[in-house]
Amino acid sequence: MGVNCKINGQPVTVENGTSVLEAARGAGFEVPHFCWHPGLSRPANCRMCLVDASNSPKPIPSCYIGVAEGVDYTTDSEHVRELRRAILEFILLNHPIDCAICDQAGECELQNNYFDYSLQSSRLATDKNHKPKAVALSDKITFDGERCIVCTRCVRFCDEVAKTSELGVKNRGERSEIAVFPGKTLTNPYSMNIVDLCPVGALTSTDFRFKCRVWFMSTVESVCDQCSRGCAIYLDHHKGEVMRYRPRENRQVNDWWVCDNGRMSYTTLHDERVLAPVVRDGAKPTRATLDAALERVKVLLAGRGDKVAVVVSATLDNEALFAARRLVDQALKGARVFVSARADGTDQDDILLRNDKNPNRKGVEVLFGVLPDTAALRAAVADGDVTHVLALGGTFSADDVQGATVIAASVHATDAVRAAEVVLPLQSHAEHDGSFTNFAGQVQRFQAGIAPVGEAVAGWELVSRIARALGHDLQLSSAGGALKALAKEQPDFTGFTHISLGATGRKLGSGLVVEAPAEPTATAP
Amino acid sequence: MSEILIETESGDLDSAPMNLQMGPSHPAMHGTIKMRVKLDGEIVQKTEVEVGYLHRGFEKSCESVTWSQVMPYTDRLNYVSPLCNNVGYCMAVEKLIGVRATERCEYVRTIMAESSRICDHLTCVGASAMELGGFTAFLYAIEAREELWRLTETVTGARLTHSYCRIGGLKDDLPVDFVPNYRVVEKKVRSLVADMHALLDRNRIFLDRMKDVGSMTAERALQWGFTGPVLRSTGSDYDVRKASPYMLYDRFDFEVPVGSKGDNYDRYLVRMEEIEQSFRIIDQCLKQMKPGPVNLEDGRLLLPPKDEVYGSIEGTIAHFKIIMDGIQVPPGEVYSYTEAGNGELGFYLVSTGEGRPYKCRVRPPCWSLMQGLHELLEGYQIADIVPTFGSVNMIGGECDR
Repeated sequence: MGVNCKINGQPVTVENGTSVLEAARGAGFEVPHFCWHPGLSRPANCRMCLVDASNSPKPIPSCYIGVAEGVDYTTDSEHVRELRRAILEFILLNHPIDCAICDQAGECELQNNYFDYSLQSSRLATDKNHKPKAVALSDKITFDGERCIVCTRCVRFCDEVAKTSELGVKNRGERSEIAVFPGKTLTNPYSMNIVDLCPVGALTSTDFRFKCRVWFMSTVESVCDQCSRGCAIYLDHHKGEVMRYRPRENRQVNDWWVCDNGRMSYTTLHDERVLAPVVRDGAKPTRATLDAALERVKVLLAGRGDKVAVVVSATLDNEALFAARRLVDQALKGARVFVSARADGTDQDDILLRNDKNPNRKGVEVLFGVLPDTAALRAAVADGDVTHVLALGGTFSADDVQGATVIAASVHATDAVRAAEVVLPLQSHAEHDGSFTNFAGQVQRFQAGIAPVGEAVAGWELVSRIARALGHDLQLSSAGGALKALAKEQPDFTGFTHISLGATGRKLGSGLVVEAPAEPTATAP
Repeated sequence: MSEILIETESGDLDSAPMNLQMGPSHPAMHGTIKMRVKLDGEIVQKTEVEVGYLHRGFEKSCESVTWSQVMPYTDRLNYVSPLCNNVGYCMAVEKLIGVRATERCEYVRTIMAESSRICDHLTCVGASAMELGGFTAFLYAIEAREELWRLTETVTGARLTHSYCRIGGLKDDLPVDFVPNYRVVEKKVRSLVADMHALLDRNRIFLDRMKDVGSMTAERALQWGFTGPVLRSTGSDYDVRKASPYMLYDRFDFEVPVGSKGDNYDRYLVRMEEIEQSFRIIDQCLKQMKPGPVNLEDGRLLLPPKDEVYGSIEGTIAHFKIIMDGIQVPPGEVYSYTEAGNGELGFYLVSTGEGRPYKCRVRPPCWSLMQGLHELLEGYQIADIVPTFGSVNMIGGECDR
């Protein structure tokens, strides 16, 4: 059932229960706010979203009050503007003059709202109120009491999303302060989301603190590769370095959040990187050109038929997996295919975290069906059925391939990778375009942020180069082209391109639905 | 010497036309322009003017800085009269935003722009005379310019690259002692200009080199898109300040001097008279202007005072937002035009509603002058290139951008 109202004179029909703020935003009228967040409850405590309503003698908090039938709401009258100036004067009254040293400056809602809605000079004649600064709420989060505007987004996040309730507000009035409850520690696996939620610079990431001014960074849309959830993230980088991950809204996958492990995983992106091809010359590993390394790969793999095992990792992107499938179909006919993966975790919950720590196991299943795992590989090598292993992705162990001749393409140099006969450098997901399929079948695109590290090559390209060394052309020239080719051959991916995946991705098989069954709908498109 | 002369079989000197590359390192070419000259003996048959030696990418650079950060770049357009450029750019942005500077601001901008025009003309006339050997006149002109620069420095803080205007206002009001200081400078400059008149107006050598050299008709000049003193020397009285009065020019009583032949001497006389008219305009400004704010009361355009920036969070935020995001100019496009030292200086701006110009195109008066320059040179002697080129006052910074 719809409710009809007018917003700034414009007739608007919304679903029953929609707040005035959401209705106004839907109609294109921005209403400034601090405490309201679409993923949290509405305490209406910041008063920034006050609007006039024809059924109320006093202004109403638009985030809290639902649209009522036949009421005229005004979001931009002189009265409302006056109110906003007054509210901002209160909020800024004791706010420290910290912009120059505050990490939030440049992405601060208080700065934006003051500049857009007030610009009134200070009338404070006395000293500002002082509160504790640079307090460690946990080893990940630093709190600045003076900058806090007590919107309680952080408190509500811990109550409602993480459901751990570590935070509360102590004292009253101008002495109000966010604090961890006695006897508790702010250690829930999602705690760092309160840094993004904080509209001001009160809660800052201890890791990111003072590392880079936000306006220097460039941002690309990426996907977290730490578990099979595949949270949508922003990858912020500066001068070729990844500076931080931030969650990116994707209601199909992660809403507005990301777990702390995923957020901090950028720090391990370059751990023990394979920087250049390495060929083992007798016992001594020697750095080689890619061409020389591929020549060695050809000697090792050509004509070995079913003695060759191709081990695809569940951490590879769809494009690399597709190239691997073509490699097996064309250049390594008869080779057996296995899947390797990161070890399972035990921290799965009903929020985001998954036990499966691989970003693309679903992609492997869709492209290759159910593959034998590394235990089967170990047995095959032990039995002598497999003598040569081409490992695409470094998620195998030395025990899995004991006794076989190994060619390993990997991002990180694990012990097993270091022991290989030929080592080829792979790009991390921060360095090339690609896509992951999450456990629920959502295919999401990630974009290249930083330049490739060392001589690292994207998965699809490296596999194509291996095929070419073996005398076959996989007909792939870009990551986007690889996905298009995949979409032609794999029905679940029909119609998928990097562009059509968009910011939120698409569900496997969604391209197959040519026409939705005709059903009369109430709302116009 | 004889071996470099080309002799024909008959023993005569070769009479075939000679191609000469004049510039860009020729002293009279300012290092910023080259002419390919085809000579028949001493006579210039054909000239091709080659510009671009001072191309700095002004227009492209503007697209990557905020609207306010363009200001120092405008100083370097016609660097002989930077304040005219400052005013022209500010007026263009203000027109796009839909605001108008305060009355006092416009008076101050007029005073500074006119004093810049005087400097422009002094430089041009002085340098032209010097290139003909009249070094004394040059020294007089530069001394007069120096007086004005010293005065300008007390107002803007800089001698050459002033960056004095702000979108919606000025860096500062005039200093309290500006008027008495100006009177002293005015007296000195006027006396020096009178000396220049005495040195040059009826100087036989100067007249021989300037009169009936580099002539053009008004019709032809308009066809080439000429503006400014070069156009007015031909008899056309087009002056943006009269034709389409901007700021407060409709309040001032001043004449637009015109020539009759469009030759070097007319251009000299027009410039010298415009100096006089600029003094008249400044006089009227000083009489008419009243105390008041020079900046608009608009926190979205102008930075808050420094004590607020360092002493209150409100000032800090406003300062931060204007510096980091740039002032917000509504989407749209505008052409705004002013009379600068060399003629119509136009700014064509496009905004997409972001903090930076989407496009900032300049119509530099010199650019059109360079298109038609060859017509002023062809048919005259090679030695006439120097005074003729000098009298159009080509400024590379503005022409090449």
